[in-house]
Amino acid sequence: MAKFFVDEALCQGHGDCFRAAPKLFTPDEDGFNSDSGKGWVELPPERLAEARAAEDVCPETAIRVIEDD
Amino acid sequence: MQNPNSAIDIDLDDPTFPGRFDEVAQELLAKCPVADSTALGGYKVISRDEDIRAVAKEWQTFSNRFGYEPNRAGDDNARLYPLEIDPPYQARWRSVLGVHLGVRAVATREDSIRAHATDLINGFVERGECEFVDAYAAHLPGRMFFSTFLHVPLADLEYVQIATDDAVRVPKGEDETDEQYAARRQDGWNRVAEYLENYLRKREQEPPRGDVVDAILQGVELDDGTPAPWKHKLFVLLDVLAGGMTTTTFVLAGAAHFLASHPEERRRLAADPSLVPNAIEELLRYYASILALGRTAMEDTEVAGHEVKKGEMLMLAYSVGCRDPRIYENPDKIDIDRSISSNLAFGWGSHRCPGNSIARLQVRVTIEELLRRLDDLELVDPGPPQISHSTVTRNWDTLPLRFTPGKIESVELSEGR
Repeated sequence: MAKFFVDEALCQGHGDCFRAAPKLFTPDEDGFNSDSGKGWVELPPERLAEARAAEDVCPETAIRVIEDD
Repeated sequence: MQNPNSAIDIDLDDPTFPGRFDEVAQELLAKCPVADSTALGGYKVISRDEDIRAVAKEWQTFSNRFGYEPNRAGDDNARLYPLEIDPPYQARWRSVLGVHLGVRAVATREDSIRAHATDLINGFVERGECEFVDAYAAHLPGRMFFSTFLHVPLADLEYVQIATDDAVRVPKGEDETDEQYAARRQDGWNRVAEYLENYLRKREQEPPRGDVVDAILQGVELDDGTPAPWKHKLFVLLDVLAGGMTTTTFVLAGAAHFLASHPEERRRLAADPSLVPNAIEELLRYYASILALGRTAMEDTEVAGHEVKKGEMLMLAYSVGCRDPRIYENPDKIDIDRSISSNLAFGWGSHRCPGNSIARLQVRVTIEELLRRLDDLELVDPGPPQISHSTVTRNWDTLPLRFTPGKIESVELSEGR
């Protein structure tokens, strides 16, 4: 299963990931990525492309995606 | 100190630059991605998307502490924060702003923004013509800042907004000398800073409302753990103001210019509102309002194979990077169907514009309201757009528009919204 990680120390709530991956990422109450600080989160295969797009657009490189086998 | 690989001596303030923007941008991108300027004591201009992103990410090597443009290093009493500080202090202020200006917070402000847009359009809709910058684009961002986000009383709005407009935009009068013009702008800034300082003092005495003003008043810690001083709070408020005014004005005018000069695309957008969000990204790219913003090299290093000396200022030309043919096919053409994965118009790295969601919302509301209320919109003057540059911003000076006269609509601007 692929996984993603949103680094709480880096996420500043720029909001680019919500546009790149609207079905995967949502803002928390303060506008930060609601998955930040949750460690590695399992990524459904149908969301892989969105996750990769979000990884590319995060201006803080706070998002990491890995696809293991 | 001419770099042997740099053929172009670029001057961001060259008055002929705005009229040749596409040509100069493409020349920089093709031949001179790290260009030397001898203007303002010397700086480098970084043009390519990839290089801009790389420099903007490396805050340890390329600092913001020495100012966002050349020759700002000395003045510690008139700074813009968090623009002119580095992480980790910068990131603490950025987080405070993110909570109040981010995607989620901004979504709740659409009704307020639309009410102000409606009110501004009411001011000229019956006439069938307007100078769009002066009648609308220069005013929506100010109303947004003061009314929607700062909650200043409506009775104060006109005073502080006119002062802001004097400070950041109003072009030089015909019978005004350079000195008089500079003095008028400085006076505008003084009035704005005085108003904001008094407003902060007043709010400090009042019960908290949980808005961005309270968050700024609460403040953050300096890197040594002590509370940020009072003047830093004012610098933050001034930064949010300065960052969001002429920049948003430029793209709002750009959007109106596009609608007025592309009737086919206007009809498509009116017929299918789902095209609007993508069109907004393209308009933000094409009408990227930040010409360039500076970083200072903290050590001898290199960018894209070009030597950079410690202390040199690098101007990251976001507006030029937005036209990089390595990223965009036909970069000088507006294509509202173009897919843009991440918009360099707002900068990159930790200093990426915290107000980007507000800007996008203002552009969307403006497009929607223009499509809805101003039929047969067209340019009065089909000549080149009236654009000028400061060192860091592109400014839209005037935009006369014509349309079929419409009706005033009732609208209520609520106090504190």
